[in-house]
Amino acid sequence: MEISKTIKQLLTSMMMVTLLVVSGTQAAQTTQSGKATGKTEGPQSVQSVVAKQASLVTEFEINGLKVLMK
Amino acid sequence: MTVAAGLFIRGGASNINSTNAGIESLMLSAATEATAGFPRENMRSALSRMGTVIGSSSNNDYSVLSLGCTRLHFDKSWQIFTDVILRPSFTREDVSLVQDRMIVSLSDDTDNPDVYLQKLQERVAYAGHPYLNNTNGTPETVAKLTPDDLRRYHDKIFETSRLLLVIVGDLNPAEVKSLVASSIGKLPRGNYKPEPIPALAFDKSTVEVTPRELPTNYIQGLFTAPSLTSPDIYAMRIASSMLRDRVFEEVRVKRNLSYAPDAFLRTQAANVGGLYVTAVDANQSIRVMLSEIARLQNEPVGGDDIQGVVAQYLTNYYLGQETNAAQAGELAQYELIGGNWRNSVDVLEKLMAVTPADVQRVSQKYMRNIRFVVLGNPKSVDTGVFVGRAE
Repeated sequence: MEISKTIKQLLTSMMMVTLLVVSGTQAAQTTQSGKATGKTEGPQSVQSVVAKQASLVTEFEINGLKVLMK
Repeated sequence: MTVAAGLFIRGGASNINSTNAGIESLMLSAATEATAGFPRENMRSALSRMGTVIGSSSNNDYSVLSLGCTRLHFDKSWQIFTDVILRPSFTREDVSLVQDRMIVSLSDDTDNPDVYLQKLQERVAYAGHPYLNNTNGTPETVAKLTPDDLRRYHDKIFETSRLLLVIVGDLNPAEVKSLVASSIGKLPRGNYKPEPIPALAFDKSTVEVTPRELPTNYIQGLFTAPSLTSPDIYAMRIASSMLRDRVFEEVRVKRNLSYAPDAFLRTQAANVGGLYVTAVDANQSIRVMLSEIARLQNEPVGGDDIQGVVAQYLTNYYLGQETNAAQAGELAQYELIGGNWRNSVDVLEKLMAVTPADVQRVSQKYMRNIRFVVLGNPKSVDTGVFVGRAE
């Protein structure tokens, strides 16, 4: 029981750290096997998504430390 | 509701050298074992009770000390997180434990063909480049490090000018500002100025074969690729995506040459893309893959194909951004090596603007001078096949 709990916590930790370090890499990769056939969003809605995403982020600096908050 | 935070350290492989490689990874990992305010048992008990996770990791460009917790337990978790940053204990027992764990992990790198292939690839692709010093170190370099080394390195590296803090969660910015000012914000400012990492330059295709008796050959080749700050990155993502689809179709589906052919594009400051395949018939597999590169270089792709890739990107992007930790990682990546975090929010818009001519141009510009490594049977490798095309 205790061992499985420890393993579970270790796996959770590894997954989170991996996400923090490489999440952007994974998100940036665009492919899976096979072709996608869906249609893309129109430019208008993409721009609104961009604006909304940017508005969620706050940035400030304390003693030279840059901080991003979302 | 959860909160994810990461304190990112700029520099990565540039912070270390061939004699102290692994010191940053070991220092961060050992710091999470115990602190002045939270001795080992207290820390483990508190973290376990709250379900809070504090961890660390490193790549070629930066390291991170990370925190994941529920919103309910954020205050206490933050207290422990900042104590890890400000007052790690680095006891001999803790350092020894983490050190042994790292050495054991590094020592069996040659046992797994895929892991060994990456090591071989690093030696070929990163020769003379800061990335050659793997941030995880080697068994030899890690074994030499002492608790005093870690303390000195900690004092040197934790200066605010070198750090970036990213927090994602339902928190009040004013309260966070106050919390940061009274903790991490008190670290020395220092005068760290990030130096641009030298670009990788491959002037010709090469292949290096490392003999090993295996049921199949493990093959990988790297070419240089645009960084996140380059305007070419968007067309390159489309091109790499199409190449992946095409080699999958040609190598696996049509010819059954391999179960796992791949084309990839990484995301690092000195960037690379490449080909990967495990195959008994190494020559035929590589011949087909290089033919697909040549097709991208010589034949314009269809506009519909680009739209399909963008649609895939949209799905994968939002799937990948479902967690707070992933969003923190994305913001940090763009802030640290992508010019600015704002560049992370308009990627889709820029992908949608890519034209067939752009895809052809970047394929010609980057998918060449491939540095191949092979782990397997030297007799199954015809060097001419590997270096004769895509140049």
